[in-house]
Amino acid sequence: MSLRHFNLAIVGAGPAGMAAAVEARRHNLSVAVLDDQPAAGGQILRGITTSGRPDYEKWGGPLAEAFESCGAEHIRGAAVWGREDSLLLYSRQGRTESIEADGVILATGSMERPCVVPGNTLPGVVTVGALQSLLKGSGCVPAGDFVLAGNGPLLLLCAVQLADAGAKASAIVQTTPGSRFRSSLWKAPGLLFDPALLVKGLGLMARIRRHGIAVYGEAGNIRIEGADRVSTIRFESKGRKAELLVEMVALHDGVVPNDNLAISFGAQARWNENLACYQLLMDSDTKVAALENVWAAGDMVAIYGGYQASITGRLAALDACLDLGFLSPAYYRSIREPLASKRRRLLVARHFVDAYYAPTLLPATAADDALLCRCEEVSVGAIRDRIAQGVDGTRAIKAATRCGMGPCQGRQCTVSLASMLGHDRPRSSFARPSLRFPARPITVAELAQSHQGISHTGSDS
Amino acid sequence: MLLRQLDESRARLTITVDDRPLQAFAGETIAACLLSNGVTFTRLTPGGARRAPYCLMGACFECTMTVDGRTNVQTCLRLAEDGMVVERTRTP
Amino acid sequence: MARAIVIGGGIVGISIALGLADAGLEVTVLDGDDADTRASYGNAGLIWVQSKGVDHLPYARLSRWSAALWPGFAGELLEATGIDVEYTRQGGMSFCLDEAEVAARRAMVAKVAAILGEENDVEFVDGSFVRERMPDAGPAVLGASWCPSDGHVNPLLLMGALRQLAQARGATIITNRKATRIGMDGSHLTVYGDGYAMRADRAVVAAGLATGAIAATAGMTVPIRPIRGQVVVTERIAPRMEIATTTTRQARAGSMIFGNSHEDIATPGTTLPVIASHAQRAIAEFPFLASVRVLRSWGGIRVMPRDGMPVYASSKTCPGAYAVACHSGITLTAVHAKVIGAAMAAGKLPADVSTLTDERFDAVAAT
Repeated sequence: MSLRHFNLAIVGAGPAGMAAAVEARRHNLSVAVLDDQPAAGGQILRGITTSGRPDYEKWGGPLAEAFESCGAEHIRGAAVWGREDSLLLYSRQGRTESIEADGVILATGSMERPCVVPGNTLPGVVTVGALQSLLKGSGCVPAGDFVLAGNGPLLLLCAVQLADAGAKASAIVQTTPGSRFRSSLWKAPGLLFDPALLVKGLGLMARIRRHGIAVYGEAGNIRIEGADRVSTIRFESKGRKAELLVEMVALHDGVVPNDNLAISFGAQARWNENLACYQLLMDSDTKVAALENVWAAGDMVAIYGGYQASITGRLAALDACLDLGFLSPAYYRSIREPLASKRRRLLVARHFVDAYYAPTLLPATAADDALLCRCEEVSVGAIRDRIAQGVDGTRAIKAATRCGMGPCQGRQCTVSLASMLGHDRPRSSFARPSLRFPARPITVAELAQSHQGISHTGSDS
Repeated sequence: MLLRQLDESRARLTITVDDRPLQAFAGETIAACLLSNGVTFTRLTPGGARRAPYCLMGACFECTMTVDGRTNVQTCLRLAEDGMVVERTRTP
Repeated sequence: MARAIVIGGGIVGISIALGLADAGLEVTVLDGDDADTRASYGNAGLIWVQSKGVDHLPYARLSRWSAALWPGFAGELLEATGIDVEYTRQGGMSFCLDEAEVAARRAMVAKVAAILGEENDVEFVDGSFVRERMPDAGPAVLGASWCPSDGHVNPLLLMGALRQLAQARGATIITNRKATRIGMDGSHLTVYGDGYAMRADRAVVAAGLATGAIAATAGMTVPIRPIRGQVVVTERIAPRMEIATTTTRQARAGSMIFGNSHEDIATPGTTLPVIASHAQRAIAEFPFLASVRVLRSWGGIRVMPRDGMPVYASSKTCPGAYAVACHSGITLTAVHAKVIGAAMAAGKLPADVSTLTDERFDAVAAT
């Protein structure tokens, strides 16, 4: 079997991956783009290539068009699960295939931060991003009463998008503390330099009022209840108890880098206490530390949103082009520098957003019965008990509780668990749990067929 | 029904879920189709609890089902196709 | 009260600490970081005797002694901590898939029979015996060695239960405090680490791969060869297998754990060629595994003494200091907790391990 060879493989067909592909093709690299979705766009531009969908982002349409005509090979529905030397392995419709690539750009984006709230696993509970995906990708909206609960810009944006499409939320339950605006402005006055962002935020609030959606502010103590599925959400807002009867609850508490694949490749990450998540260790703004010929771009490196991701995607592609010998240093500098400075200008307001929308549904404030590990059904209380016994560290807790050992491979609990560690030392001193093959679940048969194999069996155990 | 399809002029197709025929629309994921047809759960946990699609972006693995005989397919990542046979995956 | 310090908070260290605490000593365990390379978190959980001490009767007997102590010890853990470590003893097999493996296996079984004589519990069985005991075994399995004394345990739960029991018996476990050296401060046995020195009446090095270096500071010779083993873990499936093999076992939670490799590599991690070959062999041995989902893989590092047998060293320059290194910390847990710890507390290793001290390496060095 002869393997297909590409100069560059890009994992993720969101803004960063699409932009990286376009840039790399411009400099004549052969490019494969692998993505697990049926169509390009990633999360923010989901469904962008499907005809008849509204344009949610002005820059998205032109980017998608450029991507579709750039000559990169787009391998759809491909769940990349490993890399061995230049071999990149992915599972597609239950079969594992592979390609060879000299370099890899990881552009796996972000995912919503797990919301540790009692009742978060009941059928009918989804994430706010899930509602947005259903709207953009499948053209579906909630049929009955629903509530959006939590914290973050996506909450307001999604409420408006759904209402515009004819699905008005019963309420928005906002967990952002009331004192945050002032303190965040103090910490990060960057907002004042970006009036457009302020106007965008105020505009969203105005549209929510115009749609007549009730907003419960400064909310906390959220509990979702129901027998076999959601029936009620209870919470407190500004000191008063409230309860709403709903069929769906969409939770959101910001987003975190989707770094599982990078970690399984051997990348390192360090806990960032301000952002309450792990961050990849990088050699430069695009080069992943400790890995050969692997770059990263977009939200998986740092959460700056879709447009920024399209710029970092291009930067990563340029860096890959240089290192793989497709660009002369002088020409590289002449095109990279203007792009990089554009990016720096756009970063200014982000620090305000990070501070204002810092997470609110972390396990630290959750009731004992909230599940922290969905797959293995490990509660916050069970983890608290272990920590009280002096078990401190992700491996020790995982060993004792199975937290993180289920089919999601830690995607839904790693960040939450890490946020509970460190009762007597800084959280940043704990290593991120390592991940090995496969970064996505595959069958034993797929693993067996993925490589010719080298046996190292020896004596008994 | 947890969801409804906005554009009912889309092409229609039929999938079978646990021996029950369900109507889906072209371009919908299997998960979206399930939630639009009153299928309220997709799998049982080892502890016996019901779970349904949660993240709809491939990260939570709550929506995994058996599709055309292949177990543990993430139904939020697969478009519904006419004639698809979908079943709940049994876990111990 | 006499004081003991155990360097290393893994399965071996805590087992010894438990024995020391039960003997009435005030025990402190100095453990490393959660992220350190730890065989305690990277092992298959086998309580395995059939291949132990094939060339050396005392080791064969020590392993079987520990396996015999295991049922009672597992019960004690459950009673004291409420943690069921999933101990099971339904026997173990090592499968042969071709004639070369059959020949090698038959030779091993013959050796064990010769050395154990009337105590022998290992036999070679044919494919039909295998499939009768393990209906999931595929037609490619030609035969196996079979030993009813073999069993397995959940090493992750064992680690937690041992810690809890040791703490309940009065031991103090301090994490993230590495020790580097043992010496004499005047006439006092002392353990030194980064920025601290602690006096003790007993000091036991059970620091896995680091044991050799620390033991050397007290004049003990503990040569260790790190050997990596890569393992594949699947999703949870319905319970169907209680007998373990050298390549495969099912955990109580349902996960299948398979793969057995030996590489002279000291860094954890997995490589595709090895785990792919594990998957190929796993399907040949148990065809139903083909459609089961793999969730993860890992590479654990065996703490293999140079000659493959455990080392129980006592220091001549620092009286009261000991070192333990063994590759089969799970199998030997019970004998460490019930026999070796107490012997170290009393200051004299039992005659059963008199040929397993570090003097055998001195003898080699002298020739």
